[in-house]
Amino acid sequence: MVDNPIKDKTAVVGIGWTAFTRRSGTSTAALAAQASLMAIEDAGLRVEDIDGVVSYYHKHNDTVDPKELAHYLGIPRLDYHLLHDGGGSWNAGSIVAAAALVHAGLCKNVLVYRSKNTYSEGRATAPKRAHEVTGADQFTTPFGMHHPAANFGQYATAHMARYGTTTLDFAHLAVTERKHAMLNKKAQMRKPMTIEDHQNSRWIVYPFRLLDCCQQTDGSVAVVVSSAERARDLRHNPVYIMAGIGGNAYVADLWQTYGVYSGPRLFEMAEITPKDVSVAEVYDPFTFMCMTHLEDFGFVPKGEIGPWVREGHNALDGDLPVNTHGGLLSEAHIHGLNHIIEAVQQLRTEGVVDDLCDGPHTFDRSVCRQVKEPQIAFVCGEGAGSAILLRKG
Amino acid sequence: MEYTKPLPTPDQDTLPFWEACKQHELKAQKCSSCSSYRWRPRGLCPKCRSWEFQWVPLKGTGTVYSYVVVHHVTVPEFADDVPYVIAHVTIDGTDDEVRITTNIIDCPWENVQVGMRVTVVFDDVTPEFTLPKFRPLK
Repeated sequence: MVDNPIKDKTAVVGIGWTAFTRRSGTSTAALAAQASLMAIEDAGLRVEDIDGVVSYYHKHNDTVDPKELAHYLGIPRLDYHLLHDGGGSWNAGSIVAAAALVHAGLCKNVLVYRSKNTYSEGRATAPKRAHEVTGADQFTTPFGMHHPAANFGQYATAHMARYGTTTLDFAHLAVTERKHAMLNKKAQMRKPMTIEDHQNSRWIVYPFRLLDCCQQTDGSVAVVVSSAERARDLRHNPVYIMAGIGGNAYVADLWQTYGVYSGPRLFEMAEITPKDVSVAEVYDPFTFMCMTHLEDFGFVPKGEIGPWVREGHNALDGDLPVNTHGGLLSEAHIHGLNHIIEAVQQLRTEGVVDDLCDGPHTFDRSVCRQVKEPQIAFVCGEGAGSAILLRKG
Repeated sequence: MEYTKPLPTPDQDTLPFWEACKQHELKAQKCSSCSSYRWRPRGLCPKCRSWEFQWVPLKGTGTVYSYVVVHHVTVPEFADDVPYVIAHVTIDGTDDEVRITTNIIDCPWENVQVGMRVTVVFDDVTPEFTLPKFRPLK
């Protein structure tokens, strides 16, 4: 018997989102409230039923605080709130925290959200932040390491040297994700993209071109986590949380991430193997990061991700559909909480509600992005910083 | 001309590293108990948990472990430098433990490669701070 007492004991019961734009024209509190009300309504709950609130940011707080949001929404009883600084590494971690609170009996229904005005407000503050160089940053920032691509690009270069991965491989991933986004009404990037478009786009930070980089977004996503028992009485079929990991230790090698260590543990806790996963929503701030995550968690043998994406195994009808919403690259950058709601949508009885299908899903890939009969979804965060397995109930 | 780029903010763990750079010496901590090199500088050895260490001089040579080339400017102070190379360089004689983030200079970016041999160049950017950069070993 595997030591994972939380397995299938909690569930994602509600999901909500705002429009994903470059200028929300409103506050992160209002965005969070809008997504949260949708998620609570989607669950079939009332605001008064929420008793825990969890959120996260990266390094510099750019969002409404959970306690402030509870006040904004008029939540009368707040038994636990948590604001974590893990950024994109903690998208799955935030759901794991909510599940732990519910399973421990500290809360009944936990609201998780991420809300940001990164495009309209966050970009302007980046040059100022470059001058804050304490801690680990004192060894990187003075050398001009500011753009996240300058950090994550190091992983890509190391992998390219070791395994012969190329920027043309990156192009195939970007194009496939764009195809998925074109079937997603809420995606920010829905213009067709070709391999040539990618290869002709300008360098941002070698080895990443413009079309290897995710966009920046104003918007919010919210999720409600409850007990499996309550989930069965709520509006939608439960999406059970099988197993999750919410942290990552230091890994010296750059051609791999912590997934090589946390992956086996995650699948062992869920009592499945990577082959049992139907759909994967994988953190993709840059094309290559999605690719190394797929290797490190055991979906693709190490070093073979280049041919794998070229052969299109990550497409909607491939062996393992990846980033079916378009990912951070083409849907939006809501710090990967948008990956969670896509996984949940895919595992709902009615499937995704915001593709181009009119009525039931047709699986015609000119309009439909619903994967055929998915049972288990995988989601991970930046640098394999957290990961989760969800099951259709 | 005034140097306006970001400078390190040393702390008690890291100050000896920056002071050595000012003297044009590359130094790192070596554990007095298990002889492992430590990077980044810290009081505790993560291998044997000893608090004892010595600052020892390193060879000024190393190998490019990975690199990127910044083309797109996000911080205006670097606008005149693009394209510039940021590399991780593994320092010789440290059992691959000391891997420094640095710039590769005196080399067209197209010629930089993983595995390239490099040697340290001390750049006295201000009277207070010297940044260890690297150029190809001839």
